[in-house]
Amino acid sequence: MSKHAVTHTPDTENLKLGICLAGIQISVFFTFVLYCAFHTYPTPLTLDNGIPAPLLFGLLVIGCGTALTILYVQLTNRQENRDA
Amino acid sequence: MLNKRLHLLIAALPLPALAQAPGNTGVSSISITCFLAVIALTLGITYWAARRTKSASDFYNAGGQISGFQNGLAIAGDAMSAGALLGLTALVFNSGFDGLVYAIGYTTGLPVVVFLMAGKMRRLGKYTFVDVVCSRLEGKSIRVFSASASLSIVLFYLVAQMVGAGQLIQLLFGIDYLYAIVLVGILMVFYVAFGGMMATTWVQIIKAVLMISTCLLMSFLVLRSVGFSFHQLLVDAVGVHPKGLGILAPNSLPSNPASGISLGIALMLGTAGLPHVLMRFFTVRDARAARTSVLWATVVMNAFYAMIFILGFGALYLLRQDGSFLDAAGNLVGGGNTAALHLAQVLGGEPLFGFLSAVAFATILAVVAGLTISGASAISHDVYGALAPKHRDSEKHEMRIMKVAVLTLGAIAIVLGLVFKNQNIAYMISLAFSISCSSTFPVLILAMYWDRLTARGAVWGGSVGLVSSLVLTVLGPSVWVKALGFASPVITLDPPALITVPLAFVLCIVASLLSKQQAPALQKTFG
Repeated sequence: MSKHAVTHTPDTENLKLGICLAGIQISVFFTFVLYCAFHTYPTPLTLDNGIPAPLLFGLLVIGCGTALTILYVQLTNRQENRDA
Repeated sequence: MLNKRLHLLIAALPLPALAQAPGNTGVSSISITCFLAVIALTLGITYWAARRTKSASDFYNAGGQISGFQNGLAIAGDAMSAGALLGLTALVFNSGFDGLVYAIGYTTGLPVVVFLMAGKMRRLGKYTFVDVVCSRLEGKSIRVFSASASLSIVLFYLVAQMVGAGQLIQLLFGIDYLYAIVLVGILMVFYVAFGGMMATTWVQIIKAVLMISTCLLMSFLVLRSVGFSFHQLLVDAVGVHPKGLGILAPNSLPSNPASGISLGIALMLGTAGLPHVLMRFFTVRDARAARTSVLWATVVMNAFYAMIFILGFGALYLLRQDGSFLDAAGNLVGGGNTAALHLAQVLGGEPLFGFLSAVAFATILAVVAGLTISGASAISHDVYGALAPKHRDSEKHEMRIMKVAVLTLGAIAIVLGLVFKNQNIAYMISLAFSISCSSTFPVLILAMYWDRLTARGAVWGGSVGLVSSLVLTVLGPSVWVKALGFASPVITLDPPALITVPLAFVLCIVASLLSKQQAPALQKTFG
């Protein structure tokens, strides 16, 4: 059987950066989970000061994942271009 | 409670009656037109793709010719299921913030995939994640284990989707459940058997574009109704919900923190071990494109889940304010999971309702096709390849086996869809995530990063992770109490990832250290 193109290019994956960003992502998400699970957000909730903290924290988790992914892909792809 | 909500979100939804928008007496003609248009479009894509599918590589991974952006849309399409849109909106409609916890959890898996896995996986350039594991670890047992884990995840996921699909189509378009299941089964077999990964990917791309566009439009219309102020939307939502400000805070997680943490693990790591998602990294030409595809998938998917904040609270406010969508008990007409569809009716009348119904149908087709090609690859490439190695060099033979596997899987999915028609099928999705994070994920990540992992360690750890997640889920509230009818669960942790994920990792490591096998060189394989 003929395999499709196997790309044995050098591994330019930035291991330290990947582990570091994965650690940040995991920390941010599980801080959010613990924040919600152990009721550590400010109470009583109010809408007087804008959007409540749990909602903002949730949006921060989503934004953080997006930002870290963009950062990692941009840096790693740029490094791969340099090495090529 | 947590698991019940998880089920709502990730299953294709078993909706109670919603064949029509309120006030109508028959199935919407616009829905039917859009429904037929979706079938025609997807069949056209299959015809186009079939003409380009010649080799096994074309069949398994579209010849590696999908671009990073296209693949990103397809991966996002895998994540944006009908269950995610309808279930999450319904959860926020019912209880506010609790639904958003799941939306947030779903966004956390893909970044981990790109940081730790995507580039390395694609660099090996094979067809399935089993190839990645087996490029490091040798032996028939590891290939058979990995393929079995893949198949288990895919089958649980597929059957749940089929049952949900049958019920959803029956209710949206007035087609009998039997015919709905057979229709979905035939279409998915057709897409995969003739168009392979190319057709499956393009169906997924079309669906992702339709889904994200519809959600954008609906979000815009919701925000327009409150003066483009999310804060005002929350104020209005609090004003019409009996719980008042309580809808802005988590309620489920504080009631069972251990299950909350376990759920977080399952959502994050389960995504990173799903075979039909991992398979997509082999459809692009190189590691750079694999990373780029996760970037686009993350952007699109996270935008979708962020829009759930608007759609959920929009449904909560607009439907409760309107009142005509609620019955005497204050529940949604047509069942709890119909909030997004009712919202479409409020925002855009019958055209938007019909269009969203068709998008939900396209979503179902795309998801089941993706699952089918992943399951069929596990059978033809991984299991058959391991058990009948003398045929491994015959591409024509492997493609024939692949098509037989697609047909067989389609037939099994139809039969199981009919058998499980009246069952609580949602726990199958929970099982798929639990098995994924407890078996495929630990084996894959250790194979990539731990140089002392042996095949024996991987088989032991992965198998115990698979079996323990299966057993503990059965003994948990969702199966033991809700499906089997016992008074209380044997284990309250639901899902069991908090136990099974560490267990799988520890066993992989201990069995490898105790094994007399020589661990294959990590550097040589993964660089």
